[in-house]
Amino acid sequence: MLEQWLTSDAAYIIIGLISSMLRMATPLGLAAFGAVYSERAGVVNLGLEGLMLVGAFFGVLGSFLTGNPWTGVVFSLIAGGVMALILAIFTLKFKANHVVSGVALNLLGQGITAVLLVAIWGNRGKSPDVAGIYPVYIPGLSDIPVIGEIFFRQSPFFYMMIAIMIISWFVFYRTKWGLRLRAIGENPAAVDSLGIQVFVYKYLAVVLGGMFAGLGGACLSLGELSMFSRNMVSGRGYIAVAATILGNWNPVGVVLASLLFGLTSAIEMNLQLYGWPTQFVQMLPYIVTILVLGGFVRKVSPPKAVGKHFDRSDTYV
Amino acid sequence: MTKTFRKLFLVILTLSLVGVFAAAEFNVGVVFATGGLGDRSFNDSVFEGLTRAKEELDITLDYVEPSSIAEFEGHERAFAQSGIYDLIVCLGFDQAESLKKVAGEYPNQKFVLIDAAISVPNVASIVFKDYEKAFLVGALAAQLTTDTRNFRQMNAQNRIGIVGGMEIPLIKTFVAGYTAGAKYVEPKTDVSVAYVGGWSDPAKAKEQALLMYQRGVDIVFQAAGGSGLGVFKAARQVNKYAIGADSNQNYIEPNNILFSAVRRLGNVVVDQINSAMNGTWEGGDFCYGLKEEAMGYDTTENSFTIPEEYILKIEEIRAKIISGEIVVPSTLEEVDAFLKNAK
Repeated sequence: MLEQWLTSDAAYIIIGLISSMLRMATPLGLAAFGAVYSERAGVVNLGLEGLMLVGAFFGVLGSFLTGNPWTGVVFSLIAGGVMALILAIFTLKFKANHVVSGVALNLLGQGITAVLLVAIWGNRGKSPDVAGIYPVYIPGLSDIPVIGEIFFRQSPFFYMMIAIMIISWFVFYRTKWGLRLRAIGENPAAVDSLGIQVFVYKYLAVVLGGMFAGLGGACLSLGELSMFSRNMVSGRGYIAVAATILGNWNPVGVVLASLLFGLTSAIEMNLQLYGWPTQFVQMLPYIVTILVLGGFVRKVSPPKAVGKHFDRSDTYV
Repeated sequence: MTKTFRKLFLVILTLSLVGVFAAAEFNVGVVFATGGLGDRSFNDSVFEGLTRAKEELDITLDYVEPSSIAEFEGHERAFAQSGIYDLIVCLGFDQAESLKKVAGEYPNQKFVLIDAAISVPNVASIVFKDYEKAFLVGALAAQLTTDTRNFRQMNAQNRIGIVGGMEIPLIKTFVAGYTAGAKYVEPKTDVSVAYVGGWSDPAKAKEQALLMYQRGVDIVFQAAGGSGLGVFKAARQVNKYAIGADSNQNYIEPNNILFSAVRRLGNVVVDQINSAMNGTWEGGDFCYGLKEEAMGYDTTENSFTIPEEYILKIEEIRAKIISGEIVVPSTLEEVDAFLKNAK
């Protein structure tokens, strides 16, 4: 019975759909962790698009320079972290508007990668091919019918996303560090009054978030294409922002939300091939986003102090 | 400041040229599109033609490479103002608005505009029948997709695909021509169509091409600009075949790209220079296709040899399109009627 179903067209389509969903969701999920960390510490991060783009670029550069794609991953982490540090300095030290700083980060990401592309490889469109990171077949598990094919023949980035999700959940809800971080996002003054270095936490969270977003970019460039092409993130950073909201700033929630967005684009791509009107299906992920942002899907509860500037001198007046 | 300086410099330079050459030669000025030289596509193919014209026709050549749309008008005017250029060539539909204005100010100056029709008497504005090219591509792909003898990775199914950048009129004419061409040579051919929804999303285009390959499609034609690079990646990953667009892209994946559909912009520009030199030049709107040798396909720079029989068939079709025996449909609605009449 099962074996019969496995060879049917339906099984073929469903397996294809789910693997495609996971591939589309991984960069979103990784980037969404970026916003989760940053916003849990009270800093709005709309710069995911720029962070991902920079991560994608430096990932390829690292692999190009050393021939080892994992060096590229390290490069993308560093690049994402440095870019996010800019956001942290502007919003925390100079008290710039969080939203504007995030948009500026996106523009910076676009500009800097386009300029470096020409400067390093003399090409306006794409980098040369570099060593990429390919799907890994997990021994034993990948031979399980259906499940193995779907879940255990994925890109290492997918496994990283799952690992980061579990670790983050544990850190957020089971450690002192996580409790403090979440408290800072709700009421930094109260945390400060307990003698905790609020700004240290904020800086760390934003930079760490930037590293995850950079990893999301590397997932696209090194994991999917083994090259960088101009503006290749193509709006995924904004979808990741929506996934953060839909996932209610919870590491597990944002992965589920990313999977939903991944699923809508997987369905869209499949329906297109069966001749469905493409405008409608291409609209699906964005409709979901609007509904989510409008609060129609569920009540969203962002950290209360997100986007607000915290200044110790205001606290004790 | 630098702009005024540049203009001044250009004027001085051109005035000195007038002194030296005393208008004995034929002077051509070129305003390139923002992509710039080195794009291995649009601008380079024009430059190739200009270099050829320079060697063969005894012309002088001055060109500028603007980096933004805002710069076009200044460069166009600087060239026109100098009065020494017999022909000014402007590339890209982005120049349509500014050229409309400048050409009106200099009604005696001859201009050529590529890729937009602006209906101005002193501008030869040229657009292309890309669907004729797509027809040839479809016809060739439909023949190759069942050739399991010469192409090891082909299956016997009559399935081919096309990945377009966005569902806009230009790309839909590609799809129409491609579909009509494929079904013209082999009515059983099934054409899968997908649109990426953006010109710079190779990751998604790759995923869409992979889906096509999974469904038994052997050959995917990319008409998606920068996103199209993803189609080539997919072809390499599953060891299937793809077709390049705009310029010869075969070198990108020489073991997977069978051939590329190309526009021969160089020929178009040389023609324009020729006609302006011998006094037959005319302004107005023109639509170029196979007949004008403005487009075709390129099979070089990869590891494949397309068997002679297919090429002969394609050349036969090309001759029929040029003679008007085949009128290629430019919209999807016309494809069915076309195929009915073709029988």
